[in-house]
Amino acid sequence: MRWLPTLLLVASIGIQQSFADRVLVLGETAAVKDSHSVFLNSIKERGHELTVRAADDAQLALFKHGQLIFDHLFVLAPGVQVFGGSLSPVEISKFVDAGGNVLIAAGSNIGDALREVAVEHGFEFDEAGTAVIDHHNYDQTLDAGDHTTIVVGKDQIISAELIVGNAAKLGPVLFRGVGLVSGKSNNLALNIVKASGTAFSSDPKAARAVNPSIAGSRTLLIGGLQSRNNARIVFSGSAEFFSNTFLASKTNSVNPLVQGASSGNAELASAISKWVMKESGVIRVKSVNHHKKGETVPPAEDYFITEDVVYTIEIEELKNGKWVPFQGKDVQLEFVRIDPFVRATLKNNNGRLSAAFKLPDVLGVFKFLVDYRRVGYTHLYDVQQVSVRPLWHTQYERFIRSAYPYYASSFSMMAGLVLFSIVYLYHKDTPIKGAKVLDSEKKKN
Amino acid sequence: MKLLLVLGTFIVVACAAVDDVSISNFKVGILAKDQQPDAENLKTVAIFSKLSGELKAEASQRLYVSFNIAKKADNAKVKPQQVFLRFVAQNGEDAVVVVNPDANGNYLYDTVLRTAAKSFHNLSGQFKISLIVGDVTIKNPINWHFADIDAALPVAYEPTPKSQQVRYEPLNEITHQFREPEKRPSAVISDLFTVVCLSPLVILFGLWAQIGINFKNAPASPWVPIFHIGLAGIFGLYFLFWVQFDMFETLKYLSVLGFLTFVAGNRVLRAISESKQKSD
Repeated sequence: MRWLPTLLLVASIGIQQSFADRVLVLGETAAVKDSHSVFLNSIKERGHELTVRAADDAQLALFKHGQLIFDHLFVLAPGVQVFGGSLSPVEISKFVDAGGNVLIAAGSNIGDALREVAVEHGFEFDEAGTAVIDHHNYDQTLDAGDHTTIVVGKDQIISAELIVGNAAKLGPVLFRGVGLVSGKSNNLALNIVKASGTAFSSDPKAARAVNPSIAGSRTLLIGGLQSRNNARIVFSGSAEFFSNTFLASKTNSVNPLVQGASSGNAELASAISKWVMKESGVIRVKSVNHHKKGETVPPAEDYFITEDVVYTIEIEELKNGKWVPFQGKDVQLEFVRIDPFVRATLKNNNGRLSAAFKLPDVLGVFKFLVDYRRVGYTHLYDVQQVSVRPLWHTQYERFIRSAYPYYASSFSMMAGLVLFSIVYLYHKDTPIKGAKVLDSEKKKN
Repeated sequence: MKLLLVLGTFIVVACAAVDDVSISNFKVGILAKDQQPDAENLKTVAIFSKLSGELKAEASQRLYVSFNIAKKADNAKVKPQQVFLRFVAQNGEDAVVVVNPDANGNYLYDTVLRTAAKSFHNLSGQFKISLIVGDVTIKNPINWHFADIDAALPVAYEPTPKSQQVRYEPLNEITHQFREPEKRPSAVISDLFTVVCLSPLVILFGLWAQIGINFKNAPASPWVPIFHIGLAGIFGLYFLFWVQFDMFETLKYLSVLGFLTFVAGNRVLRAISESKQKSD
């Protein structure tokens, strides 16, 4: 028993560590600690463990003995051409496949490494030397004269509170950097912040934009995606978006419709980092139950067609580090045999979502399927397979009113036979006087 | 040195950024493939007003837009960095095309819509067209919605496979359509036919009463009641089989009842024939 305290100590350390996520922050130099200190400190204050390195540090690694040694990777190094150590775009893809979350911030001096990472994840940064230019929405104070410091309005930000926080209260957002576009076949892409219709991506020094590769609101400033394993990746065209300068600035847009105010960068960066670090928008299934109406457990064997069933799923959401009942009201249940036969919206009673319905009059192997995918939330997918069989021959309806003629005729036939057999066997004819007697009868008598 | 450069940029910007520009000679029209632009098929639009009526175009027609950009101060022609036409489709998506100046500095966009639509990402239908002019040297960047166009553009149908579809919105609810139960006759009709089916038995009794049945042939044998009770018992068993017994139980009882009835029937028939022979 002497080892018990040690074991408890080890266990408690393990638990504490599991709360603090390990974040690897890469800057072009370690000076990113200073230039982005406000943003990085806000993450530290949320209880995470930050490791800040230069992107070309020869000791960099994401895996050790096949295990992740970091939960999240922040790359705030736009210009990096080749990562140091074992880090590479392929390695970052492996990191994402293993469930790691990635935040990439680029800039006009974007290097090949980040462009490759973006392509691996279905996005494309514009070439090095280009910048998003907006002659209609630049910031008059911060801009250096090439109209690349742009002020982003609320209507350009995705309407998803889980990703960007309360966008209605957000101040104008400052951005300076390279344009981004999502791949044509990237169905998971989220346009977190898009450019205004007047923006375009081009070399700011060019006298005329002859052939801008990206223009209009198709240009993304910040794009993101949640991969199929729920790992999250965010690409920002601007590392300065997260910098102390932009976080603390007041905006002064050339567009008279955008009022000058404190920049919303701090709030937006905080919301995006919470989303990418899976502090918001994470849901899980706690329990699933299905049973016949009036019972509490699933049937021992199979369901029968046209039975009334009740399906209940408990879903929890991670909020401020605690699992609390999920309050969503648009979760849908499907009863699927290849195609859904029934699709019902579940009623939410403080995290217990339930639906009652009648099984279809079709036999087969069915699934109770909850496939809940909403912008910002992790993908919730739960399948319960059940068999639905036809009725036993004894389970059909009996003594049908309209079949009474059949019952009556068969039993009257039987009764008739019993009685007729008695009469036929024992009846003795009394000869009637004057009646003709057949010859055969005569002979017989 | 760096400071000097920055300062230099500021000075250049400060000198250049005082300019206001204006658009003049703005003409827009839809032309057939080989049609020459003239006063008839082009419409002049005054700056910051909108063309009345909607332009209608086929993919084979040309969109023709021509204008001049000049400084307000001295009317000198300028070539700003950004001279774009922006097409905004009804779903909010947009496409941007660049307008290039000719040798004289006049801006002209004259392209067959089918060619232009290559960069439209499958947008078609109604668009709002804006002219966007901007430059670091322009003080009043222009974003002018000058016309609406209804263009039937070629759209490639590229369906996403179901396995790759990502749907974030709730789907329509489905309720299963159950098979309609078969129609049944009304209670009155089925009861009526029950009576009709029972009537032969009643008629049988009636006719028997009329001819006056007797049991004078009955032999005085103990097998007689056994046989008839056995026969009735078989039919009773049949009824129980219908109501509650399964096949195995029924066969078990039937083997006993059937054997007994068979033997009893045999004895009864024997007794009848014996008594017949005696009476003869």
